[in-house]
Amino acid sequence: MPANPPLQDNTLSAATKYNPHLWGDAQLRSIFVVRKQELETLTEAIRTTAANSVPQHILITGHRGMGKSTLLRRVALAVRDDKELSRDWLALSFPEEQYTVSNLTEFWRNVLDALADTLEHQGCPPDQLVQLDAAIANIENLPVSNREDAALALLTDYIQRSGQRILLLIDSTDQLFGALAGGSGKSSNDGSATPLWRLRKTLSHEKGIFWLGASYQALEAQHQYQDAFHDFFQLLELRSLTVNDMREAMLALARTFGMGLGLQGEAAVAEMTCALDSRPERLKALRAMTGGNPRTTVMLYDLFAAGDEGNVHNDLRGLLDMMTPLYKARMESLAEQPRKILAHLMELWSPQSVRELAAAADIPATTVSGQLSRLEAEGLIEKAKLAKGKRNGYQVAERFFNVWYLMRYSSRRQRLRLTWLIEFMRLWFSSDELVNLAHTRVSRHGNGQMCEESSLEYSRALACALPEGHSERYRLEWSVFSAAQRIACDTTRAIHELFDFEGEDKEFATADDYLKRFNSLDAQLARCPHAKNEEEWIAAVKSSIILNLSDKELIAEVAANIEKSLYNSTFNLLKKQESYLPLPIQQAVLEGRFFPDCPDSKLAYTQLVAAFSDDPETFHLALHLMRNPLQDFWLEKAYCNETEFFPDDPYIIADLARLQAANGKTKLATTNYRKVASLAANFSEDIGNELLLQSQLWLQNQDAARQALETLAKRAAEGDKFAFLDLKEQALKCHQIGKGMLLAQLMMDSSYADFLKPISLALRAAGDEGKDIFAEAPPEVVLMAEEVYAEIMRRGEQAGSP
Amino acid sequence: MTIKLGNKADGDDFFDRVTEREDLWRYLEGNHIVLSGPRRLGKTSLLQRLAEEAADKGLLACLIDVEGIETSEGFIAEIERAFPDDSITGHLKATGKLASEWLARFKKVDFKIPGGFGGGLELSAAPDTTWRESAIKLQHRLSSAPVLILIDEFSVFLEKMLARDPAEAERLLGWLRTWRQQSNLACRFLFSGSIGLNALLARHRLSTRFNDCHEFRLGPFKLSAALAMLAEQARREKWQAQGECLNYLCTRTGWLSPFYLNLLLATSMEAARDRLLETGDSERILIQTDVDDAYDRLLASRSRFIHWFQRLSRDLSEPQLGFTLSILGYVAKAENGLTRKQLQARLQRLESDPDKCAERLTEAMLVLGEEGYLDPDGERLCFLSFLLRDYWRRNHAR
Repeated sequence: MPANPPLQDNTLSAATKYNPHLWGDAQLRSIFVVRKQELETLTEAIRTTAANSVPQHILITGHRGMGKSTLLRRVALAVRDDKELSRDWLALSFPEEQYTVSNLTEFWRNVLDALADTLEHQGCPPDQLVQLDAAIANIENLPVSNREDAALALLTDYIQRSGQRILLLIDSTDQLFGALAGGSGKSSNDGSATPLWRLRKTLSHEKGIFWLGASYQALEAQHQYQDAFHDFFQLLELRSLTVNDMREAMLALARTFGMGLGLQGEAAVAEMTCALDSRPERLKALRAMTGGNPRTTVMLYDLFAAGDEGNVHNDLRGLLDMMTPLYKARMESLAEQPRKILAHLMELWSPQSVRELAAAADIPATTVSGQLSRLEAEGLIEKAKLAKGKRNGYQVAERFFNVWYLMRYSSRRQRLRLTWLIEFMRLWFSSDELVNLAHTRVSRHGNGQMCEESSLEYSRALACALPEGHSERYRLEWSVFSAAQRIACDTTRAIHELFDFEGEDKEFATADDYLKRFNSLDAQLARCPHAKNEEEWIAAVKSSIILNLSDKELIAEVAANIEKSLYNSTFNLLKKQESYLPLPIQQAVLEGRFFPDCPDSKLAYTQLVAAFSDDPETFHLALHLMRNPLQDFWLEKAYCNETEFFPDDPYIIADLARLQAANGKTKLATTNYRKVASLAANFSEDIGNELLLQSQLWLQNQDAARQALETLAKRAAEGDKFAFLDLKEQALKCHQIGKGMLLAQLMMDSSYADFLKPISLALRAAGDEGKDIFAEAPPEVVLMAEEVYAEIMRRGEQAGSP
Repeated sequence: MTIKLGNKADGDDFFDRVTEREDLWRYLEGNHIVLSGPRRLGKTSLLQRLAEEAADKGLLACLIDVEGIETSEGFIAEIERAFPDDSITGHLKATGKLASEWLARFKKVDFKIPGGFGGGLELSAAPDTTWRESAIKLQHRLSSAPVLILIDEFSVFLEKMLARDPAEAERLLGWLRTWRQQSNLACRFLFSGSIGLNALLARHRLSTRFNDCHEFRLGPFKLSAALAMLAEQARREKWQAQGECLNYLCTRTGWLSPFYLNLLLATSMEAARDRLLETGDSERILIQTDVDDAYDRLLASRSRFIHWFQRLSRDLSEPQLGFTLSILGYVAKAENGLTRKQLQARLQRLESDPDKCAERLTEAMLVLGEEGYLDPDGERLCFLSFLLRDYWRRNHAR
């Protein structure tokens, strides 16, 4: 087992805290709060068992970690604490070594040893103990065949003489029975289970022995016991803790182990109460993480108590290492096929349908279905809503188990991406907590703090735990990226540890390359002999949005030898442009947080969101200042963000609708064009006709489109320059969404057909008819048509669309 | 909770079986008995009660549990130990008149107290084995004594013997049969076991070795007895059943085995307790929804019933196993069971010859009836326990 994790320690050492066997009586009384009903049932069963009656033996069942052993210990304590019970009953507990027994002689010997130990512990007179020890030792002198009976006789003799009945608290009864039956894998009817029948006989007739056992599952599920104990025990199933139980447990743990910075006892309880009341969602998260498993709950207590202040990353690694023996045993207890299915389910993390799992595991769906039912019956998995649709799929019930699996066994790629940590954080922290944590870390990284690799790794996982599209996610990612770049030594290694340039993070490879070029501008620009203020000159070039990076590199290259007049005109032009530009954009460009000519559309989007989503106006401006953005998914996302900022602006919605239409998302485009038409219809007659023209054309309302065209054309024909520009622009846009020919037809049918002829010709040429049709038009019309045609084609190439 | 859910019910935990006990005592006057019946009917508890009542009938009785024994020697020694001479002497002295009445029914026996009796007995049947001496001694000693030898879990013992050494098992059965058939025998045997003895003997073609015993088939509780038991158990646990709640519990249980009745009652109490915790009520009243809730809880615990499936997989081999599982599957799916004709029609997919199909069905029913899966006697073949039926439908009848 690995070293204990660096958890804050309070009243007990971590090893004690996580090991209920080491809890003292007072601690056990204090912590034991969630199985009170079961404790009461058991003590009542013991109390009401009449002395002249054979007890109804009981078996506590429950998955590993559900509290079986602790409950047995608590029962022993309850018997000792109760005057009446302790008078009538002697509770005997056994160490783990109990399960090395292979026959009933050894078992009854162990019982006798436990009896002697307990009597000694209770202050039995030494001479009686010596007598008992001698009697036990004497059994060894008997012939082997007589020892079992002799040991049992010694025990029953004690019961008769003392008037005190024996309560046998047998943990892992199933394992013990397996050992007595001669181990697994034996034929079931070869007589090997005879010791079990003999034990059953004793338990069926001996009034002074009460067997209170615990087992991973009901014995009936086992094949090897030859029916000896089928339907023999009363079962007491320990179910998962509810959220209310968890609350009780957290308060009890706070009382026993303290909380936070030195808070103990009732002060810790008050602090925990306050934490639970202020953030009730944390308790639900804990329930989901542990699946209601008490042992896992105790393990996670320190993380829970630390709130969002603790170092989840390091603590979690330590905890997961500590859970390894338990979880590994859980996996190994399964047969090959269910283990394979469970492994696939854990690798996929989110709820999966039978069909998806069958495909992943390459096992027929009918087989998978049966195995899933069994895994569900064993409590390892549970039904959960699938991400899509209303149907249920399956997920691993104890999410912490799944986190452990992801850390230990998932693919290298998943481990590199810290999927286990990401999924843990998603469950563990609320959305607000994640955002706050991310926000704090952004500013710390910005100040040069927490820049060692493990902190950056944690920040990276934290960023990924935030939803896609969240500004804080991109900000944190970018600050991790920038910090990793800044690490002086071994820079390349740090970045490559954190970002997969070849795979899912290739946009950061682009950023890395861009920034290297961008940062190297300073030195070259500084060589310019004419700059009175070097810093101002460098900033003017670097923060420019009218220049792309190649242009800036060109200027930097010639900076050392630039003529003064050229320097002056360039500098003045850049300064003038600067005066039009909002400061946040200038700063973002200058600091290398926003690339106006970003070659990677995903990177462009994340930069936009990270840098400007707090200021919608600037976001809008920056988006439209971007040079030649790709008309793809990421631009669509940026437009979506914009429409969220400005839900009633038809121009912004039209941008989105047009992109969707051009990218074949017809239904979405139609929905948005409807909104555009509806919003534009509210404008006065002179405004918004270009929007009406485009949207109505898309919506195939030809009369409405014609009416908008006539209004625009009339104004343009009357000399309204903006109306004419609008008409040209609409030609480009309508062609982009595949409605160019339709618009050309409307123009040809219009009462301003002659005036619109250059545009309609350009549209027809760009559409089906080709440039041959220019031959029929007068040269001055052709000239203008050629110009419009060229613009249509240029835009088309740029967008990679029609 | 004091309700017995597996271990034998003794003392106040034993309910009813009044007529069965009367019948058994009557039959014992002239017969040895095999007490048969499916699992979980309370056979061991009944044996225990008979042992307690025996003294009033003039008999010295001892319940001998032979489940942990492996050999013929062990079997004989266990009976030997159960009836030491001094216990018989003591019994005769204590119940002199009653014992004499019992023995007076067997006039040919020249009865003497232990140490001197045994005249006129037929002892020739003891085979030539290592245990011959002890067998003769035991037979000699007990044949004319007023003892009732209650042998529980005989079928478990026999199954192990048959698995290890069939010839030896046959020799032991042969000797026991001869002893039982001895004329003017005063002692009586009553055999029982949680594994169906008849099916076991049939499987090993040994039925003739036991056909001298009177078979007493134990049935389920009568409704009135079931209700009386449930009401008393509920009272002891300080619950009051609302209206027809206990009747409803019986209806849901179907087959009124004390085990299943108690299991559903105990689980209903748990469900009721959880309901009270949730609602904050304090009146300990059992209601019908508690029974429904308990029923679902029991069904959800798959491991509780899996042994019913596993036992068949262990004991039967193909094609008998597949045929038997198909029978259970078809019957489980029919709410009210199936007539033989209906079942045969469904089984034709597996066995197209109608005569062979009927034969295989009869053979399978011997196992399924005796082991407590199906009721072999009714007009319609159906599961005895509704819980088992619903478990089977949910898990094995797809």
